Amino acid sequence: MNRRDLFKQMVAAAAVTAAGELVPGVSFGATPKVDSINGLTWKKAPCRFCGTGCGLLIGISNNRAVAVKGDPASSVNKGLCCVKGYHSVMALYGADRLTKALVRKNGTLVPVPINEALDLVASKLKENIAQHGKDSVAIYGSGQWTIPDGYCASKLFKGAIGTNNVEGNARLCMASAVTGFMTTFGLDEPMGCYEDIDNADVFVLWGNNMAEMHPVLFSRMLERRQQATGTLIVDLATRTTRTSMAADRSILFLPQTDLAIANAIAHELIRNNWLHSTFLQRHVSFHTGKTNIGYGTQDKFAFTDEPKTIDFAAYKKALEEYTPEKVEKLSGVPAREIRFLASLYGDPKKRVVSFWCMGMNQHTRGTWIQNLVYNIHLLTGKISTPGNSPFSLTGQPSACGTVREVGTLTNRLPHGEVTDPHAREMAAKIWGVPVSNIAPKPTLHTVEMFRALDRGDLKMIWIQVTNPMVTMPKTTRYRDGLKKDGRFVVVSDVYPTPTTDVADVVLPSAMWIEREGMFGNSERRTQHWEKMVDPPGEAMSDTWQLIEVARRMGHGKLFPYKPETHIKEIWEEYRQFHHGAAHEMASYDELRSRPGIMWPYVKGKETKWRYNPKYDPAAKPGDTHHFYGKPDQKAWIWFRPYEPAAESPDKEYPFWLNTGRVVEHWHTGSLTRRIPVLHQAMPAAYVELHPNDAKKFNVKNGDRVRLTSRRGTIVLPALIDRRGRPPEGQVFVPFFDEHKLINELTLDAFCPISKQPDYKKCAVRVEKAV
Amino acid sequence: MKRIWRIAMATALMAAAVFVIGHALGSGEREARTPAATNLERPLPILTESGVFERSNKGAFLKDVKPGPGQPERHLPAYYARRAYPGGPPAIPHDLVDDKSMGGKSCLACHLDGGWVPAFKAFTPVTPHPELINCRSCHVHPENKGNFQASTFQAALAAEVPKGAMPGAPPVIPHELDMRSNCLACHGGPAAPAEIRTSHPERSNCRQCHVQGAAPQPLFSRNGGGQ
Repeated sequence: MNRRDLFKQMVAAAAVTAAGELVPGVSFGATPKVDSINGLTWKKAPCRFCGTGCGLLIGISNNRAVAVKGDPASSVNKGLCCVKGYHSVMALYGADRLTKALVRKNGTLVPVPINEALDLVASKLKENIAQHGKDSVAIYGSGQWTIPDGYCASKLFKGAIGTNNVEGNARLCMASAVTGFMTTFGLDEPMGCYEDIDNADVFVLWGNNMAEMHPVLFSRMLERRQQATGTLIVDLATRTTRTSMAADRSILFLPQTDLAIANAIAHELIRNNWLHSTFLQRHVSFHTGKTNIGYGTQDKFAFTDEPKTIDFAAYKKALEEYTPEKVEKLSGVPAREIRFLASLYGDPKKRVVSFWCMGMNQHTRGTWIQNLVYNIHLLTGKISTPGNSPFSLTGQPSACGTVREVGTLTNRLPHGEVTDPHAREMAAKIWGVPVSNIAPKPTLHTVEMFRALDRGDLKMIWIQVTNPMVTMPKTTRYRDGLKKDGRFVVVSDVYPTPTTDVADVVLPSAMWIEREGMFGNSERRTQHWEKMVDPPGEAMSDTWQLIEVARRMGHGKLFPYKPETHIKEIWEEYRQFHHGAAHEMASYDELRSRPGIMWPYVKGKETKWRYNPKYDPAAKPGDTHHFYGKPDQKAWIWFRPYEPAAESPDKEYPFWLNTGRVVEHWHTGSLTRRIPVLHQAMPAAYVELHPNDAKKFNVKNGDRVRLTSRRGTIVLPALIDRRGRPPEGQVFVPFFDEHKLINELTLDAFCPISKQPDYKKCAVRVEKAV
Repeated sequence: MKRIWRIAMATALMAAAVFVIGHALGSGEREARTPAATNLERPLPILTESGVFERSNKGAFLKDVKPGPGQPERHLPAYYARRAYPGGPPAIPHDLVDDKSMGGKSCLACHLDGGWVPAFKAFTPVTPHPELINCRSCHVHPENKGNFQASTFQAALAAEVPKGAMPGAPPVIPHELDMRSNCLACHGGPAAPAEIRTSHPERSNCRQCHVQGAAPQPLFSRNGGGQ
């Protein structure tokens, strides 16, 4: 570059800065100079979006991300992405990117230097703790937090401040998966891995529109079917979708009756003696818990299960009423279809994978339905061997890595439960804090956290990488709560959203490849990426924001990390929590050099199938399996009954409302709607109706339809027989659209065990809007 | 005597019928007393969603089927020349096997799976909607080249073959999906016009990467642009 070029660039940069100051929030810039596709530097990163964790290669030119390709070296996706992944880097360049901190002054958010905003956050935290106690402040993060983000949040709030008010939006996403794993196996996260797909003969998708939500894994499953003749995909769902179109068999059931169907399958397995008896004798014990456990719709709802050990005879007896014929009446699924499902699970020659995601997780009996599907795999011994796998898919890129493994939930520590004195001692030792700092009781789970803000028990919340003003069920109550006097809301994000709209401080975040980090995907794979481009303006990573605030609060000694090496230092510190064969994680240097490594990673070897001594160094050799998570060294079969949904259709509100996602958009759309290709393909939310219902209301495609629940009302264009088709008496609305807040209608009922809300079932009225 | 037999038979049949009908009605009532979910319908295809998977079993095979020496490729100008406007049903450029048969037995014999036709020196285009067998309700066979009157009709321009949003990014779908949701029919195999032939027909879930871009929308903006 000669002096003349340099001068030109300086002038241009100055002009851009000046323009930026005139109109804050909008970036003015000449078209940046970038290289041709063949002159790029390619760097590896896990995808920013779902929990599949595809490996991407990002093309970098002149400090900008300009292209993407699938990483052929990644065993997850082997070079393929979905449409979100291919366009992921465009999410960095929305014109209204937050580049400056904003502070609310006289009712409006005004730009301030980021140091001033960080000072304010620290002083507000100190002020609230001094006045109202340590439990008056909270942090609410996300399964899109990197591992170092979540680790610093936990260390600051649980270790330094001493409150368990730490939650992640993963509570809304996979809390039931966690409690399902914990109650059945005593250890979280899937025992199998994606290689199960390449080995299975049958796939049963439980309420899981995988073609849109986990497209790359779905394609891998279709590929398996193409290669192995006779492979069968069964779509067991409440709504007909693109997944149903690709499945060999599609079975529709009425909402909530999956509980009864799973029990009926178990009933049939026992009746036909399609059981793996040696497996059952050696590796399984039987249990039951409380029934009529409620729905958590009242404030301060509390629940503790009382597990009781039973024997096989008692379990069999409890299942007696779940005959396929009785369950047909409840579920709308013909008895022969239930028997068909049982015959697939019961055939000893068939290897079966069950996949599920939000259908089973966002469920007022979410923990139970996980238990019941595990029961089926345990009765038949189809678990922890290649192709036999009950597989809980994860929604977010690091719901596993950050929320589950780091333990950014009120009840968790990086290793173990807060109620466990050993877990507290370990955390105190690694963090360098007195053990008395770490509170021994869980405090507020997500729904209760927002209720506490509304009530005023909680004064201050710091929200990072998530958009609860679009995602909280019954949003109106919680938005009104956050706006009340005496609440202080800090939001770290990359774009303005309905959540930054109610913030008192907005911190601009460095996103994804603008900083270094790690995510952990659905198959226990940790994936590292380096910083590839500079963040815009004063944007700062969430990790560094937390460190800056911790230092300002006087906790600098606990956060001694250097700017250049902080991610490595944090990782090596955090990794100590997981030493040992059951959880060992790879070193920073190994993570850096490879597209991803599955834990437990022992002596340079990934563990593909846990609890199987052939693959898992933590399992005792000498038998086919060893379930070492529970005190009795067994996997637990639970009897759990069918119980109805929290709110079912009635005369006044005669339709079921189901909500969910679409392939084009990531969650609340704050990133993907700023990617022109994706927004144009799916510009706005809609309501899907069955064609017969549409006829009844005299509604055509595109006509405006009003939905009303006990909590709110909304008008949406009708979509009939396009992306999906709900059965008669049901409607479906995606939640990505901040202009059409469907969660103002949903109910904040949750699974009493996992505290995860049910976004799939509430009652609405449907009318043609005039 | 015969008549008496007939009357007796008829009476017996009537009595039986009354019993059967009565029993059926009664059982209907009994069932109605237990609150039961009516069985849900067997899922029917959603046409715009199902097509993408329809020829997927052929994808791996199509990957290796390429025009050989002496087998000319088709190109987009020829493809559009068969249609009055982009998206219109193509006319039939060859003589008909049988003027009155349904397509299931005649047209689909070639247009279901395609293949090289030495007589035409061309690969047979594959239909994206083989379930519709009354082919000639839309596809006509021009009997002569003259016009009754000249026409001033001007066809819409064909969509440009889209490029990805950045190098390596999957291009959007520039057309509607109704009747054309079976991607591989037009985009896979040797009959596909070279400009729109996919390099990876073995990937069966096309719409995992290629999304709708047929009707450009205003860009998203927080104050109403996404409405």
